[in-house]
Amino acid sequence: MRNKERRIIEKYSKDYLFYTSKDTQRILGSIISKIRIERFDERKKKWEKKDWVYDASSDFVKNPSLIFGKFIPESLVDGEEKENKDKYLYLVIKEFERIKNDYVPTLLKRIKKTIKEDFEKNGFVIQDFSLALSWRLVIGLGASHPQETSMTLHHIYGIPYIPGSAIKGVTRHWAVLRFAEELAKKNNLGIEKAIEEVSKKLENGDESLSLFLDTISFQDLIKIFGTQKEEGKVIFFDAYPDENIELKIDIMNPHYPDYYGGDKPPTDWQNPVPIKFLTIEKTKFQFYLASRDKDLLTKAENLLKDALKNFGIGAKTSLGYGVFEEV
Amino acid sequence: MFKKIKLFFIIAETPLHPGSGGELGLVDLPIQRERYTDFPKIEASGLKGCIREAFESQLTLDKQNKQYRLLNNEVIGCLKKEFKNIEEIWREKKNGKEVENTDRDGNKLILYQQAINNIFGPEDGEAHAGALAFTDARILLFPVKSLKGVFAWITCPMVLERFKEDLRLAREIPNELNIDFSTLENTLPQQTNICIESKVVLEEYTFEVRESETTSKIAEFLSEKIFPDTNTNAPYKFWRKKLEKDLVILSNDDFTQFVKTSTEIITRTKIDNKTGTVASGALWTEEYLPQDTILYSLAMASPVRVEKEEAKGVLKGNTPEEEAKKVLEFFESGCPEVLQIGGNQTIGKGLVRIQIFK
Repeated sequence: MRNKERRIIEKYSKDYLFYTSKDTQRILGSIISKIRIERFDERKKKWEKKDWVYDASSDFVKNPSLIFGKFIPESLVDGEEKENKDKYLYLVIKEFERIKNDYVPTLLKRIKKTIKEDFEKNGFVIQDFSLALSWRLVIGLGASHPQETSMTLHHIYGIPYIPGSAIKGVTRHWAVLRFAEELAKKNNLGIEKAIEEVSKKLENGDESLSLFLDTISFQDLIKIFGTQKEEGKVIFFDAYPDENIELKIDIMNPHYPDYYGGDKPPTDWQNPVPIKFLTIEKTKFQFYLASRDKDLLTKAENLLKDALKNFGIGAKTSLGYGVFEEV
Repeated sequence: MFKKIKLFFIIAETPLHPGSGGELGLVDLPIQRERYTDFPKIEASGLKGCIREAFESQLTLDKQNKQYRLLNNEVIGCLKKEFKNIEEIWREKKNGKEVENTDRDGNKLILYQQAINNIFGPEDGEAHAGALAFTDARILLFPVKSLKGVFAWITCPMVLERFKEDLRLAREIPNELNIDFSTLENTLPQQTNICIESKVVLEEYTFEVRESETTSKIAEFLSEKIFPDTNTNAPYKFWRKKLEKDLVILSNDDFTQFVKTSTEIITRTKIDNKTGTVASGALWTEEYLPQDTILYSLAMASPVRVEKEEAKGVLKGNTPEEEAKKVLEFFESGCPEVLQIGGNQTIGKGLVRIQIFK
């Protein structure tokens, strides 16, 4: 018989350890186990260790944010430490499947009702649309996290989302770049200089620029984003993934770690150290914008859609991450 | 003196930042807290301002007729049932002659605006106090991540005791809360979904807990009042059921620790348009009350405080009590279900649901 395989639960606290208080450690040890996978070697006539995984025996919904960010076990077996991270990320992804069908759909319904039905009654016009990721998205990669690479998750529900501040920020950045292009063309300026002028005038609410991008004027931009003196006239809400969220493990692989560490030249004898992180793949997101001014709202929506489709949001946009397309 | 008092809940639908300005702490922009307990709160003045704004935002200017109108929707519909003429033009006697009241640009004001001035206090013109006052919004339930069941609502004996006293002020004395809460430390409702072998794991801490019938009753009572079972609140069925089961009464000290350390801290940056990376020095942290935090406040009404009887407009009543009652009615039926409180409105923060205690 080929591929004879068996799974053995490694005894907790001998092979892996959670770094939390004693009673929390005990509970975690009882619901998350480390499983050794052994295969029978026909030639040697004995069982040999082939792989290992983390598995949660319990079937209840856990908080993904706690599992991902706070309860991270360390393997105590020699040589396994480096493998630890992606093994654990697989568990996070598996656990995420549970909340996906339970909390996420009801939460999305509630957000929709709050913004589209109830908040709208305060004299706001609401615009909603959904776009899908053309590939992957990672937000909050650089935030502090025990495993080096993080991801922004909802504070209570632990599901990934795009913060309204990021959405507003990227729309604004995109607008500055496009208007600077126009200004550079018009006044025969260098692009760097044009960016500086546009962003300075936008910041100070200086309306002296007479620039247009399709139907959007520079004065519209000032109204949309606001200045220190006056609040912006458009609200950019957090965007949530539609029910079907796909999480994937990704890798970045800096080839000259000592060089990037800042103290050595990039030499061929340095070993690449793969760093694993979580991304969201091919998922649909629901965006909401609100304003009392319907005209400005449409303009902001167009800018945002353009930014999401052409520029992208989150980390690694220059590698095609965080770029959206029409559903 | 306040003649009529009503309690209402404030449910955070998005993270809430009732800011206290800068502080020399770890967080650059912390939230408001009670001086003596360190519990989060919303300052009454800020709350009142936001509610007034929500009322004022019901107006649109009809440019053709140079006259204000009310946005035609359910909120105003409710008001119109009680106060029929609120859309009529507001006339006042000046030098013995009756004249139409207008704003600076000559647009005609309507009785609705007069009622707002009487209720919240005038913004200009003859000074008098408003007829409606609010207390600081106090914390009732605070959501905390739970290893099992995603999150739990926590509260403590002190918070429940204050809540009971405030309900008493509003002359609502529920039998369900006539309990000595101090014996309920570390209890939760029966058949809860968050317990693992008689323990709960909240954030990284584990608490030994026991199920209690009394706590079940408290949870049911709160859930019924905060997420009432009406058609308009259909998506809340899930949260109503959750609150019935996943409430934990912690000790006063443990509760204080959580509201101090488990608020949402968001790191924000500013992107340098030229480099596309974080602008130097532009990295700051903001503190928020998480989504699903539940606070409450009291709305306290007195008779309208203007000298002339005719200036009372639609709120005019035969007795001071009746007038105060009308003031509260105006607030209750005219207040939108969802409004915005606190900082960072333009990035979608501070949407709260107002649920009046019934």
